[in-house]
Amino acid sequence: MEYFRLIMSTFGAAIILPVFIFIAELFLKIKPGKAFKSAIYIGIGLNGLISILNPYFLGAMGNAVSEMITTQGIQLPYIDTGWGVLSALSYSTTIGAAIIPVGMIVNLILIRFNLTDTLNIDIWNYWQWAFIGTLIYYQTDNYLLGITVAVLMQLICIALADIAAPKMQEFFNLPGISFPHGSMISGTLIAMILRWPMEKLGILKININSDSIQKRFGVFGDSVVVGFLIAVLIGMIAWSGQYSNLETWSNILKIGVATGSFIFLYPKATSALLEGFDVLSDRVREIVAKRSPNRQIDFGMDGALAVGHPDTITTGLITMIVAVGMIFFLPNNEFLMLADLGVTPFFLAAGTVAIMNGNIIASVITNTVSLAITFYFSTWISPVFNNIARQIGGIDVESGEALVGADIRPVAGITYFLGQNWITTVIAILVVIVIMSTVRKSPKLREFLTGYKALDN
Amino acid sequence: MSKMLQILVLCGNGAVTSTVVMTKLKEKLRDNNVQATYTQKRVAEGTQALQDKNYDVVVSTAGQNFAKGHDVPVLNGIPFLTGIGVDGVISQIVEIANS
Repeated sequence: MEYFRLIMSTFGAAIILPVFIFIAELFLKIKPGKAFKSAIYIGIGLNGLISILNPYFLGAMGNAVSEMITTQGIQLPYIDTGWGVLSALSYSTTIGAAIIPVGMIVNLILIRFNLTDTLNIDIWNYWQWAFIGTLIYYQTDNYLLGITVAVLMQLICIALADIAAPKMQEFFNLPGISFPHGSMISGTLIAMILRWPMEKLGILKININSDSIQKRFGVFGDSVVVGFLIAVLIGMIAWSGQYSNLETWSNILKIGVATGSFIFLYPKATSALLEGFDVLSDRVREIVAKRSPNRQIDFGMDGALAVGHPDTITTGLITMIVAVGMIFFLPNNEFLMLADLGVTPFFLAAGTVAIMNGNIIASVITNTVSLAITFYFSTWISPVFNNIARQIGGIDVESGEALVGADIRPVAGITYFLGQNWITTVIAILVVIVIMSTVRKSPKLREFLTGYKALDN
Repeated sequence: MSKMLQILVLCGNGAVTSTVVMTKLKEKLRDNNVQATYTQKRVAEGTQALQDKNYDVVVSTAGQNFAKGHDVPVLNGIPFLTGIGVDGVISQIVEIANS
């Protein structure tokens, strides 16, 4: 393991991960030419993220954020540089190397013992489990605990996906699909907790048309535009008192454009990464499809499928603006959400709206709570992440007072805290398994949590 | 020879599932001799995209509510993710290309 860490920090993710994937693909009998091309694309995507975009964005924001901290005393050191970087780091550790086979085997065991109907074929997003597992592994130096915590997060995701599946399928009109997606299911968890009180308070009865709200956003619904404006605002705070200087305005507008470029370009780099990764996911899907049983199975998929629903977009847009306020006004927040402003609020919303039956007020309240939790988890866990990212190596993690942070959504944060030692991890795993089997047998409990009324009862 | 198609591919965040769809679309349409240019976007930008430019066909993994009021055909991209029903979607696009 020590030796592997040394290799990793010497070569960096953009070299190591393609090599990993290439070997894994040959092992799974993918043609060498195809495997080679897929590995190169992964290398390109990673290089784009880690060596080009991340340092560029960090460099551009570093000055303004440092200035804001030292002269204005506004503590927002942890910059959100997007999930692309987190996923790249996750797959380039030994936990990441193991997560696909381990996750698949665990999933098949759960199906075999009738604990779930979900077969998670959204292989890419296994990185979210590997991410938390990696934090625990580097923090405790215990590989087995790291893997076990990654599996704990998988179990929580699959359990929640399974409980919510009937309601999600009905609401989004997506039969045979469930969402064990770490970000989206975080919204679902918070919504399950808040649904009952919302119903008792009568909030679920208030009706608002979401289409009319959406139209009012215009260009402010575009995350590039919002990112530009926040960066300009940060620049204006950082260099307030120097407005008479022409160079100040040049700097302010430059970080605005830099942020806009970053938000626009980083999905493009991630897209190259995904194009390479898809060769591997396709093959794994093929292998697993042969082993799945004859009973009704829900395919676990990326939460992106539910983001297009008009209620998701409306809730996402409103809470994206709420999130901007939270960056500056949430007490003790140190997390500067930027790259994922157009992502996190929307994925949390996707998990929320179905449980709230499309009620916009209840969804916005719930999503605001989920976002506040995300800000606090990100504030608490970013220092740990930043420190570990240094050890993993191959990525720039600081620029002046500015540090690369991690956007930690509720399920990931909860898993991290439960995974601090063996005792809590094992207890948590047992509790999740008990919940899985209990809810499956009780339509009443499912209705209480998700509002789903089974027809044959 | 069929015309050059302008295809818009949409998903939740414009990076993950739309890439999977686009990679497979390119491969299949090339096999079917359909020439096309591809644009990839987030579904939240879908309505704006349809106002800005005329597309021949949209493939979306995130529903089709964004296309309200436009008569562009919107096809379901989910078959590309599950592997079930891909040929049906491809034949629809081939038909549009030849019409």
